[in-house]
Amino acid sequence: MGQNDLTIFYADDDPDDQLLFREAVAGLEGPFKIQVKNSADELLTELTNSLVAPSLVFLDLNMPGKSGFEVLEEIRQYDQLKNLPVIILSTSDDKRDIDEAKNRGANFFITKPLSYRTYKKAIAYSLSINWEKFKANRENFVYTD
Amino acid sequence: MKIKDIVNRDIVNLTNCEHEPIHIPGSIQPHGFLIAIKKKDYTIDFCSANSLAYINLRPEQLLSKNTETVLGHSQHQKMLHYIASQSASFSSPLEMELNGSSYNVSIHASGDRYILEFEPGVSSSSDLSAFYNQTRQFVTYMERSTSLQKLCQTVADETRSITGYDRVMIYRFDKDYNGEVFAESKRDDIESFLGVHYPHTDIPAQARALYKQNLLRLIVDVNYQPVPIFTIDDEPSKNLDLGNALLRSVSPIHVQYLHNIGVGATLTISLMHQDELWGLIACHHYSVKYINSFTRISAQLQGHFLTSQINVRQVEEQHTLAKQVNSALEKMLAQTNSLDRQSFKMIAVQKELLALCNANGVAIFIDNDIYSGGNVPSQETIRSIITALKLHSDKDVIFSSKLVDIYPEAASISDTSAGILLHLLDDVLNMGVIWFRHETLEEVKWAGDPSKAIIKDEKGLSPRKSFELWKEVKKFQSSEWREAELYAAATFAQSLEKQMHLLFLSEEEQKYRVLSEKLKETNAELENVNWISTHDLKEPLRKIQVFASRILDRNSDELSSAVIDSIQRMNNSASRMQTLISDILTYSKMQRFNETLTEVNLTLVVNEVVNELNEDIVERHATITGGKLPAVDGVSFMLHQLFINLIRNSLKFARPDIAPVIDISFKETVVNPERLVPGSYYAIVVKDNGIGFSDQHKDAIFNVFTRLHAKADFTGSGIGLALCKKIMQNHKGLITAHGKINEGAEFTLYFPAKV
Repeated sequence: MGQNDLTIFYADDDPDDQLLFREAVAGLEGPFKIQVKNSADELLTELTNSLVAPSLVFLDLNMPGKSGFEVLEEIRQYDQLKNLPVIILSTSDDKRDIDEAKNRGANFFITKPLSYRTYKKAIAYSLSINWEKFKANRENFVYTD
Repeated sequence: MKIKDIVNRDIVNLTNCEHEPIHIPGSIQPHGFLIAIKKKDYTIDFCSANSLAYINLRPEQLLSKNTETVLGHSQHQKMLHYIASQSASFSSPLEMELNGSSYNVSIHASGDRYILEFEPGVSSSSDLSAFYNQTRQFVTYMERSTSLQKLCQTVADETRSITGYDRVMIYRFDKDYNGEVFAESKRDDIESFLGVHYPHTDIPAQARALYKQNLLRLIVDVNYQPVPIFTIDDEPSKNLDLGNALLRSVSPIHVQYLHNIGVGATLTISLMHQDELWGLIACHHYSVKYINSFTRISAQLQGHFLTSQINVRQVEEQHTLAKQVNSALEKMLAQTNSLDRQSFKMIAVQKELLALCNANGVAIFIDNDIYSGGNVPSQETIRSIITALKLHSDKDVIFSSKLVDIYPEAASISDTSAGILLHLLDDVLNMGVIWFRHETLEEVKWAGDPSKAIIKDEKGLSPRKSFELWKEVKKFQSSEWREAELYAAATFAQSLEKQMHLLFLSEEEQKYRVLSEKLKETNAELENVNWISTHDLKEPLRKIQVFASRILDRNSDELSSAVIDSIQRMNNSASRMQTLISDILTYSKMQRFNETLTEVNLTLVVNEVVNELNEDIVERHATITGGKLPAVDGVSFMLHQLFINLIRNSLKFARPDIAPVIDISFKETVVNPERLVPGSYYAIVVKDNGIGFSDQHKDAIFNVFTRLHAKADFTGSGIGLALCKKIMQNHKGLITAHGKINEGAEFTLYFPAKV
């Protein structure tokens, strides 16, 4: 999988967050292709039917309809998506949400930062991770500024 | 020798009859003669004028003579023997022969004299067998009569058959000595007096005193000519007390009274019960009538027999009444199984409720509601009566047969409320029951046709007149509340109280149910608030911050410093709001605690927290000290939060000139600390050397949004310690604080010790 065709999926129903995300990714070096989805179902349909293999998924937890946790669980049910890196991008910093995300197979957890600068850094950091080698544990699962 | 009579010639009339000295009339009735002898030498000191008619000796021939001289030696000895053996009682008279005639002689002591009363005639031996038969008869009465009234009736019938009087009445007194004809046996052709009431003034106090003293009175002929008693005129105001004399002359007022009702002869037997005058057996004859002493004794025996039964019968009557009451009560309570206020309305109209204590009306009151049955005054009046009674007495049970004495306004409502019986069941809730009785006058039925009432002359007394008088006496009064009725009312009040409390409980329960519903709704709303906090409040806040920082990040060169400052302040506000919301959220999550407790190693928790806060700790040059902490049953993330808050608190409130030192140590195991369920607790102390606080705030600091310091000095939501308190509560423990300004703060955590 080359850097050239890094396709990033992002599911969040909030247009502001979508804007921030696009901007943050656009400011980064590299040929990233962004697919923003408004809901869990939209994301799942795209992931399972798209010809383009997803490289990375950013997932909000609180969405109308299916929650991020449910999406996460569904994703892991597909063989082809079993190892897809899923990064939770949520408002929550609740320890229980973090634990649950990890238990359901998320690879990384970012609490949506309150400063734009940190936000960009967090996105940049998660895109810099070599997912083939990254193994989530208690220490590295949550993004810290 | 100078002799004189001792006749009392004072004029007696209705206005002064209360003071008439009826025991010393100085005269006797003519159906016998009387002498009084000195105890010391048996010389005759008094003698009735009619001695001549009986024994052919005039008083002056008898006075100052010795009885031995007058009666002869053998009769005198007989008398002495009688006096010695009988202790001067006259229950069975002495038989004497005088001038060839037989006399029954009653002898009794009066001061330092003996009074001898001679009545002609002697009983035959058949009288004795009559006694025997009479005694046997009593047993039959006892079995035959089922109530006191029936017994009285039997005694009246029997007394009439023994004595042959035209009318025999059993007369019963109430506690004020107002009388009532309770039973009557009479000739068929004469008017009945049964149920007739008499005022206590009909038998004045001194007459009652004599009735108590002298249990039998005989008037043979109301038209008799009083026989004066003579004495030797050897001292002034010499008199003879005839209080116990059978022959004693009768008060002219009484004679007048008997005249008025057309009575010719009477026999009156006192009915004594527990040393009080319970009533009388009053025998009337419409012509002259004499009965001999044995017949009198037989009649008196009837009286004794009756009084011996009063107690038993009264108790039995009360028992019967109580039984009736209980069955009425059961019936009534069985009908009301629904538990609401309407059920009291149902109870109040049950006629059994009135019957159980012979009341005419009843009201059950609860709060401001009044449920009534029977004849009662207006609700407003009932309320003011209850208020007056409460003021009158602080007892729970208040009763009166004359409410007007307590509540003067009752005068106008005696048709409903002459007498009352109140049971106050709960003063605070104003619950109780009150029974009403109307004026007795309304109940009294004049036996026979009132127009036929015997009124001899306008000024004279008659039963009719007596009734008028009695009405005056009984004005505004109800009948007395009897023992059994009071008992019945009390029994009912007791069950009513239970019923009322049950009702209150169910009403309370209903209230709680409603309340609990509300609580559930509120809780549901609260959950909503959490949702709102997270998604409708937190999100925009975050965005304010992110976009503000985006402006500053990207365009800071193009912005004036004033704009930058404003944006930064805006950002700070949003940030503070953010903290507040997330703290409130955390706090409310703790409120709805339903996690299961697992073993948590506190040493590990504290290490984790210290790691997490490392940056802060280093920045402030703080030192964290302490030793091994015990494991407790808890919820790991909460305990984590607990120590984060405490350590942050200590770091935040460090003194500016001194590097913070925070010590977290296991101090001791405490048994039964205050404010906790008894048991053993680990006491863990978190102590710092910061700015401290005044001990007066040691409890307040745990309240939500309590801040002891200005915002500018220290940031914070004011929830941190409230959260700690909540967390400790969730762990069935406690957090306490002590502080000293500029020396430091000390928090003690009590965890239930692991067994």
